[in-house]
Amino acid sequence: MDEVSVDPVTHSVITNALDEIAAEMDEIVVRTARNLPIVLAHDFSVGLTDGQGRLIGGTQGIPVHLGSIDMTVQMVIELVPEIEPGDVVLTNDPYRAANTHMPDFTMVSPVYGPDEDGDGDPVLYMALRADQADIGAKDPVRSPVDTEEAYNDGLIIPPVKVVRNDEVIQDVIGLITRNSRVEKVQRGDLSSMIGAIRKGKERSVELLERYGVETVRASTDRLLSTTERKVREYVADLPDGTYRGHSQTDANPKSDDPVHIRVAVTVDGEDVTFDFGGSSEQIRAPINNTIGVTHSAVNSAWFVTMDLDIPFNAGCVDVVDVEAPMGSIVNPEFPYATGYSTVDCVQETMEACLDALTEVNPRNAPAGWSRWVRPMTSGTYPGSGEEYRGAVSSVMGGGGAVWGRDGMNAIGGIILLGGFVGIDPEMFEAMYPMSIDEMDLRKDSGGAGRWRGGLGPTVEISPDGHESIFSVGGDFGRESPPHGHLGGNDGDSVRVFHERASGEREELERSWTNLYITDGRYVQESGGGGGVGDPHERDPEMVRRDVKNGYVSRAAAREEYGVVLSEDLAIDREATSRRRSDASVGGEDDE
Amino acid sequence: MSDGGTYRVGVDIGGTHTDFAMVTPEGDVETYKVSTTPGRLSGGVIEGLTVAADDRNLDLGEFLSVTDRIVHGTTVTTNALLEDDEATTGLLTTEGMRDVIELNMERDPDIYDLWSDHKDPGRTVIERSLRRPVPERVDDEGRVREELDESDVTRAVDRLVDEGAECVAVAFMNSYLDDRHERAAERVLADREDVAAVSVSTAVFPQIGLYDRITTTVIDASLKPVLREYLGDLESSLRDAGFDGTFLIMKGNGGVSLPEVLAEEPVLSVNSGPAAATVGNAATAGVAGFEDIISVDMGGTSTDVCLITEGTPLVTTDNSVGTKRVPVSMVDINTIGAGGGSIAWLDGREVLQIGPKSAGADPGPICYGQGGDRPTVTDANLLLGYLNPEFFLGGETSLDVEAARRGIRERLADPLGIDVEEACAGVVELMNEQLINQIRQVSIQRGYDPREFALVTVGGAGPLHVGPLARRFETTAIVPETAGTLSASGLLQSDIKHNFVRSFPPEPLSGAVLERVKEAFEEMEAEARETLREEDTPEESWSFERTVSTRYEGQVHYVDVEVPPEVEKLTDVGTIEDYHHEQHEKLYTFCDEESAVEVVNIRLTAVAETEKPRLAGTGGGVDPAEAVKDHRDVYFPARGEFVRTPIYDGRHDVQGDFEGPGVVEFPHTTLVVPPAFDASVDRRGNYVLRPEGVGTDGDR
Repeated sequence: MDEVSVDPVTHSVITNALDEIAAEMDEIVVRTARNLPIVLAHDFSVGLTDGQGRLIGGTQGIPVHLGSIDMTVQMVIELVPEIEPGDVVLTNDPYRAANTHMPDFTMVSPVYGPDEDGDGDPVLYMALRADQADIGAKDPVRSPVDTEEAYNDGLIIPPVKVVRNDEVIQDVIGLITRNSRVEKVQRGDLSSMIGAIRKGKERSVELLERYGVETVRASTDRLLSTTERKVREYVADLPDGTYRGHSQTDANPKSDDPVHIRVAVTVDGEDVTFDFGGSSEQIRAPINNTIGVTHSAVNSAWFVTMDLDIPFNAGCVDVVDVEAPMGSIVNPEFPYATGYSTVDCVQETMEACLDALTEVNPRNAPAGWSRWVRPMTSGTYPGSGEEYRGAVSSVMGGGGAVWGRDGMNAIGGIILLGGFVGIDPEMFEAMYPMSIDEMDLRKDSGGAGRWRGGLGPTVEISPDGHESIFSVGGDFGRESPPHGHLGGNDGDSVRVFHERASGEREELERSWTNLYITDGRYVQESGGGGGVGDPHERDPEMVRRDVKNGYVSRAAAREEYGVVLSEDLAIDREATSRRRSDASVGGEDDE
Repeated sequence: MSDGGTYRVGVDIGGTHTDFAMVTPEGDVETYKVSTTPGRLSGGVIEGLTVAADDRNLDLGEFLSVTDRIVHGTTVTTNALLEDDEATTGLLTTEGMRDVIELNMERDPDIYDLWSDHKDPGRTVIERSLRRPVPERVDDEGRVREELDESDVTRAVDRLVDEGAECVAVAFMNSYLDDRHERAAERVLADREDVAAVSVSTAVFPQIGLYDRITTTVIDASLKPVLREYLGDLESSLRDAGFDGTFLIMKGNGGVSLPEVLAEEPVLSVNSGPAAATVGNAATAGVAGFEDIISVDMGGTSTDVCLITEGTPLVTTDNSVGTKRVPVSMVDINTIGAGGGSIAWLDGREVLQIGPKSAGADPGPICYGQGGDRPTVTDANLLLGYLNPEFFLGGETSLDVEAARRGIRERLADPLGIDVEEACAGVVELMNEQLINQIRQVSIQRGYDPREFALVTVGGAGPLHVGPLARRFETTAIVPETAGTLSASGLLQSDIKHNFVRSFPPEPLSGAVLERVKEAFEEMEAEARETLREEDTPEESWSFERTVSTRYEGQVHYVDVEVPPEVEKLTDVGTIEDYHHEQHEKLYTFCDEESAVEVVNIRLTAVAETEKPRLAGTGGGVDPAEAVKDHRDVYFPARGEFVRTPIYDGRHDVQGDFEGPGVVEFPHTTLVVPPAFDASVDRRGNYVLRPEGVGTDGDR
């Protein structure tokens, strides 16, 4: 093949155009989908790859999806060799197609040059991954908490065409929707995804018409090689060595033993390896990472601590090798269940990676984020008799601080990095047969530090007399709370209560439980993020403002930050400096 | 309204200049410019009017007594938002909902960046200590679940005042379904002398979405003191000087309103200035024979693009000012942070980018020679021969070509391994691609075919770039002669306009729903009629537009579908469904005829048409060939080389046709006519450009 080059200006135009294409696809999904977590919380992602399935950009969405969406494209290329220009392939297969958990459906479609009939190679692939409401799992809930095998998690869809030659294959759509307990929602979401892919392809073909197939190929190659070169230069500057990280989830559905994630990150010249040897073995529960999820955790941790002005693409992570022992919690064997892997153990995997990377560059790594617990709700609308599926709120947890900045309040789990947005309470009440009684931030839930951890909200939800199932999965972080960093304190762990109609509260001791609530309430005290730096070094004025705003109690200001405030919230400078000079009181490094 | 007056004046107060456009009794448009008087803006207004009076040998009082209308576009509220200069405002909300605005309710454009603006925890619209919860609750069917105790309101307001609140916003959960608690709180607040202003969410934004209602209501309340004071001072200055005609203020929706009405809903005054410019563009294009246009207003740091059909700009509720969301009806202006002064740079991937950082006026582009060292779009335009180094801003300044060349070589050309001309052409191409993308967003993505719209280009930098845009969309481009004072002219063309909205609980469309829709339309129309009557507008000038927002069952977002003006014709459920399917397919590539359709919102726009000044043409200009003052080498990408190009003096009164390539130099802007373009100048001095091969029908 002739070597075609692309001039830097055309290259720039093409690179920016790919981002615009992804933004248009994103818009179609947001505007037309039915599954509320997609629409209200943005539980979907768009990624564009080159003809070999390498992510080139055009990324919109959340890290847990984006970190491995290109692996699925590559598996589709391998498994569906006869893919034609007018085809769209769907899969949710965690094993054959490196998908994330099975409720994430991924559509992949090739873009060929305007005059090509599919004999050659595609120039681009459009990939779209979106959360589905109900994929026919064993129980009438969005994600059963006690599955053991993939077969229990729902319908397994290996890469299969849902559109052939621009015609939607209704037989396949019908087969899938028949397996969903919310058939209309399922059908609407498949239409929405296909519509977005169609739009992306139209726009991509326009781009190929304008600039030519070979020019666009040269441009995407150039993008990835430039990125990779820059990242290799960055890695070459990192100190060689092996850095170890660990995290754990105590919410082992099968025993009282924590599940450990251990990673050794080796920087060697221009290469980086994440080796998960020593991690726990796979278990017959829904918390095994799919290999895609493990890659997403690694790539997200790696990328978020890398201080280069480069948007996420394959060139950023080409330097990274992942070694995940087969049969372990981070690379299970078929058919081990993976239904909750996008909560546990993806967040613990990312935490372990950050724990190791903290040693490489302490000031780039955040403190621990709150463990992310959000109940999935399932039930039947009292009026229409149709079933609903949903997530209560996406923001249940505070973010960890980072050197120089407090953590965000109510931002959700670390694997989202804020990619999920909060659900408006009126929208929630209008769409679900439930009411939200409270969403207030919890005072003192963020870890103290020179930079304070973000607060998590208390969330109280009433099903108002109809029975709703609250499926509670994920670790509460009791034994391993969101860790403080560089002398900061840990954030709060999560507590979940079933409040009876009488007002009496029962605390949920173990995760992986379905709460059946009718007249009572679901109450969650969400966790906070860890702090960074010695709390005694926090500007007393910032502490005073935190107290004034109710983020920090007066007692915590005194005990943890060493800041003494008068009745009318003036800083008692003398008492403060006395307290702060007495190293035996509060704020010491708890490492 | 006074009938004796014969002058009409539009006043647009900008940061540096206050612009006036005046229509004389003869129908001529005359423009004036004076310096803006910061501190007390009415000073510049009176000064400009005095200049206009002097020109006609009248004293100010005499002149104002024969002026029947003054229309004003204001930037005070927009600027207050941009500069965080609003009054300190407290929020009263439902217990349990105090922190809704802190729950990550908007998307972070840069999720992987722990240092993104979005992840700044100090970013909240209103500090937590200024948000007070009160016990009360209306449920999602509009039933009161917990009564409001007015003494709780009093106590909460006491706390807010103690915390320094000057104004109070009230936004309760589900109040869009029943506003009685908000009204009760409003009554309690009305008696408080220690509260300067109060806004209530159901009056400001009666729609579902507590987050949007809270933020919008807080913004509204926080702007009341500044707008009241400002409008009060302006009006009394005019009255004291002898003006007894109608004084109208432009709103962000492109309509005008009486000052005393607008002062009570200041959020509607946001974006008044850009809206005026858009209406001005529409009017100018209308006079040139184009009703359907896309206006491209490209200044030094940003570019505004807006689509106008049949002379009316599209309106949207998806608006922001700076980082603040303002989701009320406003002219749908798509703004990007890229303009003539925008910096061209290489990102981490060695991809060329334009903006959003700008060199501003100081230090400005490298070629200004004021210490700027980062290449801008203006520097590239200079090196390509589009700008005349000796005739910038009408010859007021000269530009440093060599410094610009050095900067582009060092920062762009050498790192990319290309020559300076290629780098300059690249900067211009990247800029044009951003403009093309904006035009796509306001047209194709909203279901309009840009080939059916003329591009009206204004702003200091717009006419430099218009050729390639017209070529890409195979359409006509217009550069109005009055580009410099369009906002002020636009004010004279505006109608009185009010938007009304009602929300419905989700329910599939049926005969019964349709009845409720009709009833609500009638209610809204009655309300609209009362407002228009209060404004003393003649009934024969009124008209009403109706839009229904629809969605498929289970969807959250909706599409807007226009319905016939006669409510009685809304008899058939099928009609709305068909409109919905069609619009959904147009926007999103598919429709779903198996799904039930729901009505979410209905909107009514009430318009009282104002009498428009008839604009006389100047006529009788010289042939363009006579305006050629020079030739120079100008680079055109289609030719891939510099071409000897005639330079026209835009100060000449010309009328007639000429062919590209050509460059027309006006005092405040430069028009580039690329090769293979036909240009013509009409009798009002508007330049109309057509790429060869595109039809000449004015109303295509």
